[in-house]
Amino acid sequence: MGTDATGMDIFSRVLFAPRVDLAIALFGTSLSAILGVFLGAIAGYYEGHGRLLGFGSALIMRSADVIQAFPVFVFAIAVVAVIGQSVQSLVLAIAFVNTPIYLRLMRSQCLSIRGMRYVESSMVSGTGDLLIIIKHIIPNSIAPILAQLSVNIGWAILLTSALSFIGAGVEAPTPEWGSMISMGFQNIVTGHWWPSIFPGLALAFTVLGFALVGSSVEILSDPIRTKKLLMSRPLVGKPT
Amino acid sequence: MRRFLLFFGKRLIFVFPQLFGIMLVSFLLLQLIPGDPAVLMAGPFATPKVLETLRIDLGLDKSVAEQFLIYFKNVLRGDLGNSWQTTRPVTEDLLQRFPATLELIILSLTLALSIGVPLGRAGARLKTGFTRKVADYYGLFAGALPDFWLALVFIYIFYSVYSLVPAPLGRLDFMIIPPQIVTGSLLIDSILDLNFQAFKNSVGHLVLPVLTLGLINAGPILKMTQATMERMLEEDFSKYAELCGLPDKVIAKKAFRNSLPSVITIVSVLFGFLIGGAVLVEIVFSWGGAGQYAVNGVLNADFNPVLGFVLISALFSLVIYLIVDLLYFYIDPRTH
Amino acid sequence: MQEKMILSIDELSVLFPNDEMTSAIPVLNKASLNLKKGEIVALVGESGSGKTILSRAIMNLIPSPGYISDGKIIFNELNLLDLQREEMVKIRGRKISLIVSNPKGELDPLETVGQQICNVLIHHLDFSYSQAKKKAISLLRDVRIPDPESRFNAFPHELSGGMAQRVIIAIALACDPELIISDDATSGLDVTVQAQVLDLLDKLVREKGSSLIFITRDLGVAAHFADQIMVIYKGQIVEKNNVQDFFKDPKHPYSNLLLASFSNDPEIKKIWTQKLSLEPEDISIKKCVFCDRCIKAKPKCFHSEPEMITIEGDLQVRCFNPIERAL
Repeated sequence: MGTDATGMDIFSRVLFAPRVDLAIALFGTSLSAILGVFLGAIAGYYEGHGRLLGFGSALIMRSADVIQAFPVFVFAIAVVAVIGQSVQSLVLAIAFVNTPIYLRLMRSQCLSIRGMRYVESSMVSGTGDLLIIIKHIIPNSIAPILAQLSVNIGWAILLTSALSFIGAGVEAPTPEWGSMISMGFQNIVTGHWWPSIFPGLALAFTVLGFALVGSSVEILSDPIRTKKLLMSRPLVGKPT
Repeated sequence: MRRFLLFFGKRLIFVFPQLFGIMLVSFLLLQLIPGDPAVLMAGPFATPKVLETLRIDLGLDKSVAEQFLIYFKNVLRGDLGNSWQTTRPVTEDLLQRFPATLELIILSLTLALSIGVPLGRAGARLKTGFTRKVADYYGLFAGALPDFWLALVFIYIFYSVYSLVPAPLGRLDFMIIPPQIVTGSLLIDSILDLNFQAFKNSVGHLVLPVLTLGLINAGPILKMTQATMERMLEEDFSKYAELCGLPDKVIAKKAFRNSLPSVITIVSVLFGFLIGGAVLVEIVFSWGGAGQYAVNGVLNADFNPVLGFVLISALFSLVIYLIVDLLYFYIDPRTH
Repeated sequence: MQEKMILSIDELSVLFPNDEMTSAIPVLNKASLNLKKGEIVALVGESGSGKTILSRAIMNLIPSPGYISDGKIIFNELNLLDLQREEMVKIRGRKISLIVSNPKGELDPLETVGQQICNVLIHHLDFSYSQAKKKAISLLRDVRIPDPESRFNAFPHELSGGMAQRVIIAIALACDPELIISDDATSGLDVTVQAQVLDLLDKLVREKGSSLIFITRDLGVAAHFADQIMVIYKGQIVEKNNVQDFFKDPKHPYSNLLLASFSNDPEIKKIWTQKLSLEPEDISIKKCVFCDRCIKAKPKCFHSEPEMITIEGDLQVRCFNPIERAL
């Protein structure tokens, strides 16, 4: 694929870059998922309760509202700026920005499952709250959260690259797709397209891969849709 | 009509506590930042005297609560502090830059809607065939492409190779006389001013960034439209319409009308996101937009622009969600 | 004189493939029926007997993955199954219309009920909007909805179940169809509302001389206003007769079981419902569909399928041992 302006080989850098991006994205997204699921379960389960627990639930939701009102990108950059530029700050930035998503997802799942009969009967028979959350609510909410996770990881990679592109993310000369694209930026105008285009393509395909995995998880977790998918095979007998 | 006003009034009232909450959180974040707040606001080149004056003005020697009060009063007056990089009031800077971003976002989303909605509709109606494949793949790809990269690709093709558009430097070429600022939107202002040179030139500069953001954001719109329409076509009312022998076009129209709330939702989410999220495209094209302004602030420890931007864009988001709720109210008779 | 047959279903079979796609379950199994012009026929059967699928088959709108594997549906000397989609679209709602149950769920929540009536008028009969609106209001009046002019602008969620059902009837009748199919139109309604809706349907159908297939699980309702009654079990029509003779002397064991279920006499109930069929269905063996629950079953019933035989007049039975009553 040629070399870039500083003489480094592009191909090897394109291949090596995902290590960093992926690690950051995975850690950041997992962190936000764990935090978001935990907070969301509380918010959803205790919604409408009186006194302290109900207030806590409302507080969590309003806090999520406020965090989400901030422009995502600028918020992420601000986090990095405050903590200082490093891999850890990127992980934290991603975690911060994504937690409300899982929080809301978990909360809405919680609300709908909470209303189901088998949970009600569990509650009536005296099962402790924590046990109910662990036994009933979490297993049934896993599927949409997993699907979201996959897409999120792809998006987190994009965010990391974007941050690196403007210089607030991973620092050069560590290979990272975003910063590689930014380094090749000036050369585009003079017609040297390869330092920027290849990393971008690699980025796009990686994110695409995660999106595909996410949509497959979504389909497979819903038995009705899985059936529909399998039925696009030829039918037995004579169709009309 | 009365119910509408009641609804509108109720929602409007909620805006104020939300704004207050955002101001509070922004202010507290400011407190968290390591370093001398006076330096953050006045910049590394400020003289000790300037810093001293600033400290007194902002009440940095007083309690946190009192500082917040001062801050709050200033904001209400429209005083968002000064940027030491541009040496101008943040309010002025934003007034100049926000319209640039808004013009970009509005045009891009319009393009995105005109691609995403028809393709999504067609994709939902046709189970197989070429159009359906196009819709499916487009939705998948568009969400995965990094916008800053696509912008570079377009610059390479349309500027470097084919020289179809002017150089990607800002909204207007240096030599062109800019129109009188009325709205801040170059397109509208140049028409109002009958300045057709400026109009033509600004269109040229708008083409690539709008194309970039429009094509990419068409993806989520397409996916949402298609998924919702497919669901609506499986609903009982669609099956009943088929039983009544209504033509396909009518059934599709009904299904689409029932899908509108989802489409509106996704557009509003994208709008809110793009206010800060268009930054990358703004940087690539040196657009001089608000997001770019804020990012520069963060990267150079110029704090007032960042705070001001966060506040204003939060305000915008709230306004958008209010409009969206009003639209829901209008479309769906069940909310009355 | 041979009266004109408006609908003639001949050995119609509808199959649904099973989950693994290895075989198919017959939901309708060589079902046949004949309907004269102006006749009201009640189609009675339990849940899962295939009544609704039959109504959808006449419209050629079997939900996938089901499909019509065999048979003919002759409507006015035309086999509906031979028609192209565009031609069939012109017949649905216009010459043959369907009254569905669960009316509020089937109406478009974002359109006024008046507009939804106008839709069929505009698209089938080429009415202009103002013509359609006038006709729609008079239809609302016909189905006895109070204050039709303002109800025209009502949305489905603003109506009660009974009123929504009347709107569905109005839509079904709007284009003066020759054949109306009512699929469980009155289940889910309050008893008093049920009676009103039935009376309404009776009156309107007889006035226009349309034919009606009235699908129901309720024998009492069938007795109320049908001319003929057909009993369907597991996808097959097992008995057909005029209403008076049927209730006096039901011939098929299943018909007797049905009537016994409604009986107040516990003895009669016990006799007919003795046998419960609990074995899984093996569709490859040819036998009478009812033999597993039949207290009159003979060995022959387990090895061959009885044909539909016309015994006399209106009476047709599909059974090797129809019940003979001592007179």
